[in-house]
Amino acid sequence: MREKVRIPAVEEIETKDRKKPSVAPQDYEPFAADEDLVPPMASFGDGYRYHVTGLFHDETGFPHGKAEDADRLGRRLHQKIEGNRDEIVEYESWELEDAEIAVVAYGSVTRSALTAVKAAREEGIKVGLLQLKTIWPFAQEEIKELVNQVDKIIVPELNLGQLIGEVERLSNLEEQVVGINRIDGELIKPATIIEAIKEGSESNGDFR
Amino acid sequence: MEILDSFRTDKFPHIWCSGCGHGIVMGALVRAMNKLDLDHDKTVIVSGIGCSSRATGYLNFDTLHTTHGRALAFATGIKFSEPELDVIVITGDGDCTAIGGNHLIHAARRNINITTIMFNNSIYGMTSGQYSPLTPQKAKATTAPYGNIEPNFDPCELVQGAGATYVARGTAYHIKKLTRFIKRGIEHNGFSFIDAVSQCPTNFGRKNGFKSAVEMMQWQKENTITIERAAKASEKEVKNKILVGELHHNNRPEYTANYEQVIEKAQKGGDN
Ligand code: SF4
Repeated sequence: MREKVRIPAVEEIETKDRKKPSVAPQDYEPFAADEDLVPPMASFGDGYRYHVTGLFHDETGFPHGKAEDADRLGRRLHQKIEGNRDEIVEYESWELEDAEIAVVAYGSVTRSALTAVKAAREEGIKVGLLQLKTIWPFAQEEIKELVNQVDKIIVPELNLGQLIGEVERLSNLEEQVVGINRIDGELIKPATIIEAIKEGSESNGDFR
Repeated sequence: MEILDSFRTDKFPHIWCSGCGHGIVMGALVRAMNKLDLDHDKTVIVSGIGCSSRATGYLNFDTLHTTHGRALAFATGIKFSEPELDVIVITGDGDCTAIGGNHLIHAARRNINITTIMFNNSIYGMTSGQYSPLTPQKAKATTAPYGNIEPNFDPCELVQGAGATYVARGTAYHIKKLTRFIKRGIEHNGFSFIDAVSQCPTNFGRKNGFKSAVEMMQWQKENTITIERAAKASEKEVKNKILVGELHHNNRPEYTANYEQVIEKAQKGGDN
């Protein structure tokens, strides 16, 4: 399978430089964070001569084998992600405004899911698609909205059920969330998803 | 420049055992850098994981203590983005030839201007003495209590075969030579590899009948032969001896310079 990739022109790409330290090298603590929990970072070669390690470290960047250092660092990194949820979480949605059924997809199954949703719409079924592009932090708010809006959520996955657990824990209705799972090396076909969309909806006049 | 300026003295004492060869090898590196009068603000030292790789914490430069085996991968990124920086890699025999074996081969193949010093004590010291690819066959290790059944190999031949353009071997015992080789390696424009034979009395020596670090250095003296002497010696004299010296030196285009040309070409908007 081949398809086109569009590479944006240089002018379209926004460059965001890291925050640089404003203090003198001898006062620099490379892992002392500002209020936004992001520490200003000097580049190697700038004259700050600092140390970066994969070991748990304190604000100076050096490891001391202290549990409280590890705890503080782990929590800051976690908070930094959690606090910037809105900027990190990426998703795309199709036809969800009036949807009564939703497909939630992550990764390559999105292709089949989108084809299925479009085909079902042609037939007048009110179905939409939420494609998750990030998996953590989880698109909690978006999924919560969805469980309150639709009657059924279909989660197609090329495994025996991973993402579905995250969706299920936000649902209060029994059997609201159904999975389509395939692990035989073949892709999930749009027809299979269309089938799942239609299942149980035939008798329901509201869908048409 | 004072030698002590190269150290973060507030980080001492170091973590190494008494008698460990790694301090000697680190000393050789610092002396070599000092002789070259390298700009401390424009020199980056990168290490992997293991006893040897802790050296970066003690050196007063921009230093990066990476994940196991990946020092060369990180160093390649640094050199690629800022080619004017001198980039030096500190790694151990396990870090470099097992976990990081592929990075080693391809750094050599690309001939990127990085100097790699492999602190070679023939064992995974930090994790208590598992055998590495450079543990001699039949030597004992915690994971080879009946003797290592795997043959070791010569990393200098490996990198030379892969395309490194400066290859040398020294030992903690041959400290002057080692210092000289490191200096030449840094001066050389291309991928330089220095095998620095070191001793781990704690996790190699004790298991293999060495009573002290001194005995291990004595071993380094007696079981090595310089390439100059080897050239004149009989086959019998050379047999089973470890070669010490500048093993290989040539010149071919350097990776970041080649890349610079690509950037120029692309920016001119010419044909590719
Ligand atoms: S375990 Fe071996 S290599 Fe590690 S510090 Fe001790 S002597 Fe040196």
